[in-house]
Amino acid sequence: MPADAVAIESLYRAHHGWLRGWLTHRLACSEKAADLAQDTFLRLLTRRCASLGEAPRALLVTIAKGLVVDHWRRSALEVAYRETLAALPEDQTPSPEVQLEALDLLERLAALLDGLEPMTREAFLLRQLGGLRYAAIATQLGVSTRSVERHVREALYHCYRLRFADA
Amino acid sequence: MRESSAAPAASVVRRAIDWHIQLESSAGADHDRIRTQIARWCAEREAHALAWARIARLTGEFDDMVRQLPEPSASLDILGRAEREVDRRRAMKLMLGGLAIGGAGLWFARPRLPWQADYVTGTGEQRHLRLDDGTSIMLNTDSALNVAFTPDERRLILKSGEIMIESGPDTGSPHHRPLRLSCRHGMCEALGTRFSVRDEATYSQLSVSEGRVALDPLGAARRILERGETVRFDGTTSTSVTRPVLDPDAWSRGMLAVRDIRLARFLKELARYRHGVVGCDERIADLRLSGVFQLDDQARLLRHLERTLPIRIVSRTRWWVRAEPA
Repeated sequence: MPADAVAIESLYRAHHGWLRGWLTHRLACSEKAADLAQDTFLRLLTRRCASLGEAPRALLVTIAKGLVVDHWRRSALEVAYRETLAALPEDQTPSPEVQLEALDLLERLAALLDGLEPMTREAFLLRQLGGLRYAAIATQLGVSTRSVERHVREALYHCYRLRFADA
Repeated sequence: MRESSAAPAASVVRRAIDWHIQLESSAGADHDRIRTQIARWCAEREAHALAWARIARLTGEFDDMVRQLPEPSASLDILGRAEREVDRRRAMKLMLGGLAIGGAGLWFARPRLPWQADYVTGTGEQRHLRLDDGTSIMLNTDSALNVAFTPDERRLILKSGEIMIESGPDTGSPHHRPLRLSCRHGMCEALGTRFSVRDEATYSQLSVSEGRVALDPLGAARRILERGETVRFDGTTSTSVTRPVLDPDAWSRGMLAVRDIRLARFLKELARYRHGVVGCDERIADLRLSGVFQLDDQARLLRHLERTLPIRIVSRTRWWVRAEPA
């Protein structure tokens, strides 16, 4: 077994218990918590963890937090999407496949923009989704065109860094 | 050495993004001229060309995504509601519950995000706190506060938003510890008192409701404020506001109290408490209004505006509201 895998196995024995408890506390669902605890260790395996020995607890919590937020985001999007669909006449409800696809896209978009300031996120979405011109966005948001440009610039840079790993 | 394998530096990526924005907001002959300039810039270095190609790919991918999404305004609405929910849970469950566990620094490596703070409120949310020393605090919508008490001082750090403080007696401490609030543009020290501070990216504003407050603005001399005074400070100057259009502490009672305020300014203030966009048509931006409004029923508030001013409120989604001439 490679050294990394040995390290992870002993890490698993030492930390799986409290991590699961930590997740259960946050998710209020022990089944989901067990899943995410498992996923946390899986993520560790697929990462290069040079500094595994230093602060394993901190690293595990970091990964687990990311997974928790992903999980919340997905379920929040599902709820919001379902509410929107409920407002549509029945004959306009898209097929389950289309719904799933739309949700996946929304999730990708939301994950991409996670961490941006609300105003930056809004300006960028109005530009990309609404297709509004900068001046129109400025009026909508009650700020100058210049600051809309600044928000869009920030958002693009943020996405660039996520999209291209060497940035 | 050739640069073909080198990743574009951050400054190059930012330049490419600037070009993209310039190109998007130009038209006609300007558009062609900028295109030529970009082509020339790309030819200068391979890293330039690579950065430009990536920006084009990135925006192309976005366009593809948007084409496949449900109706754009519905998507905006869905994304807004979901993100609000995630922010709320993150603030409640990850930060406040999880502070004792180390490693927060790793996760919160990005600078200046509100949920780095000890106490946060989401859009439309207000929160009351009572600290160990008896100090009572109200945090207004979309605010973030850190608390750093030491044996020598009681320090609060307003990272964003708006706060109202009623200083406590601090009877648990063997000697008097000053209560100080740092904000982006300076520091306020309570002299037995109730006061509020509001952070606006370009300036901060302090209002004293009871007692006195010593203000040390960055880049200006210390001054003492008496009850009823309001001062704006921005890092170079501090100026008294004699007739604030907004009552500085009505919000702590769930109200917006305004006096002769421009409609555009009023809607901008209202937008702080709502998720999404509140727009205002330029033709009615200068209408004035005065009054006291309840923040908890904004639908009613907007209807009231329609009745009392020559405007109508257009809402495309819950997320997107705009005032237009009636």
